[in-house]
Amino acid sequence: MIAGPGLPLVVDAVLDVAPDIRAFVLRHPSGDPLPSFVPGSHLPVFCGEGRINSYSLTGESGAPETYAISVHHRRDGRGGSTFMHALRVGDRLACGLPRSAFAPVASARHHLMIAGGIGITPFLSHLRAARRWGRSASLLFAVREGAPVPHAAELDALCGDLRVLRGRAAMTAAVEAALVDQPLGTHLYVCGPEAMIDDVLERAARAGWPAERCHAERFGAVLPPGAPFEAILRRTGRRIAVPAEASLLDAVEAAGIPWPSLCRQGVCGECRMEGVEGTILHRDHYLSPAEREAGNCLMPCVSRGAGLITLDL
Amino acid sequence: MPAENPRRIIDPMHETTASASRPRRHRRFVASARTSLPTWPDAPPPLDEAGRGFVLVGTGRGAAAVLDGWRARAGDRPVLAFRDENTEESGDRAAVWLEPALASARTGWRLMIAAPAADVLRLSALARRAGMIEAEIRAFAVQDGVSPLVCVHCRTDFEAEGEPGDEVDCPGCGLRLVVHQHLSRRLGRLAAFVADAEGGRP
Ligand code: FES
Repeated sequence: MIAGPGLPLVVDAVLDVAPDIRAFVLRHPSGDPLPSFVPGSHLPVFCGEGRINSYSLTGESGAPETYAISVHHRRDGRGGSTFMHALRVGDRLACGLPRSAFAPVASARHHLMIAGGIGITPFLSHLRAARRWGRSASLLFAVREGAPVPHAAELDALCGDLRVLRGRAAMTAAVEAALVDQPLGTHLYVCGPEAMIDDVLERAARAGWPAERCHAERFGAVLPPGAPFEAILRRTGRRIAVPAEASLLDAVEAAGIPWPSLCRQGVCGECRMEGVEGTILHRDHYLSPAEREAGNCLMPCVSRGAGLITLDL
Repeated sequence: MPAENPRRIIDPMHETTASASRPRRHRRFVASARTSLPTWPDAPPPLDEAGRGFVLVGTGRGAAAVLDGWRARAGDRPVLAFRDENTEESGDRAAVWLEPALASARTGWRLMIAAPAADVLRLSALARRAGMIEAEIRAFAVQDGVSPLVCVHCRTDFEAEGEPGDEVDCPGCGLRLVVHQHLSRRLGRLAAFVADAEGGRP
């Protein structure tokens, strides 16, 4: 369930922004202002049946009256977006506090944003902040051939340097051209389908961009199952088996040990486990390279062990 | 060329990656808890092969050979280069040249500097102000010996034979000074204090 202080919200408005993309305006039941958030933050939302999805906050980040999120209906997903699309004005939602994992870098000379499809959502709050603080920003937005541009009017108003690109070839060409012609001190932000993120980051590295300048927001793709392994719980000496199709987090919970988690996709950082020994196979998008290298903490919702690992439980 | 990463110039304001290896300079001087001088690589670092283009700057004796080595490695990647080995004002001239060069450089480029220590600091400070980060700057300090100094008592700027820990005479106020490890980042000069400042005599 949601760890830490929860945030009960009420659906204030529902609005279709593109086919299959629905925006929700949420407010506090008492009408109180909501906590401020860092641009690029996401809101954990309890979507029924134990599912918690994270949606980027698209509205104003400073002392907002309401939160806005946009949800792409994925019929082949885990059911969270179907739950969301069934919401009506006045419905109640259990949410967590906003979490920041994709913040703009304040010292950047220029912000180059690259979005694909619903990956546009975190950039709406980035662009609002850029405008407020007079930061220079440009946006390349890949939209499927023939599909309407979600949030088109807002984007036009917020970004003076916006290019909508139709189709993969056009996007690739625009990305290649942009990566070799940014002023010194530019930071790159990319959000969209996993394959697009990997492609852009690879091109950036080839164009000489240090990793410190490249920032990605991943929605978390479905990971392939891993090899089975075992975990020893140091404090009790118990041994638990983790089968190929279960996560370490599943196995720990199945052993009756409650453990905090939110996204269960290796993105949010909630489930972090310290004091791990053994060979860790990291599969998350949360830990830094240095933390990975240290080799004593992991995100059990996605990461695994090789053979036998020891947990501080 | 050593295969391992050369030690980078560390911004003293954000010093988080203290190098374990012993600094080559100012051995005779008792290190203060925090000095504003970075540690220098002992040999020129290799060209940063990850760069898509390069800004190369060389000042002072011995910089030319280092620059030639880097330029050769750059192959057909774009290079903007400045070098001035002999003149007194080569640091000033390099700084004047560097600003427009950085404006035409693009993200993905690297800055490589071979220069006396004070020039390295001054030029890399300029680059940071232009938006570059540590990962994009590599430098090599050439030509030990003459340091640009500022007398903290009379504010005279001067050049003198001496490194941190050495004693020099101030041409402005005549005091006997010790060259200190503190580098004025604004002036790009090492601070020099009266030699027995800690002995209690004014
Ligand atoms: S639950 Fe979000 S990273 Fe594991």
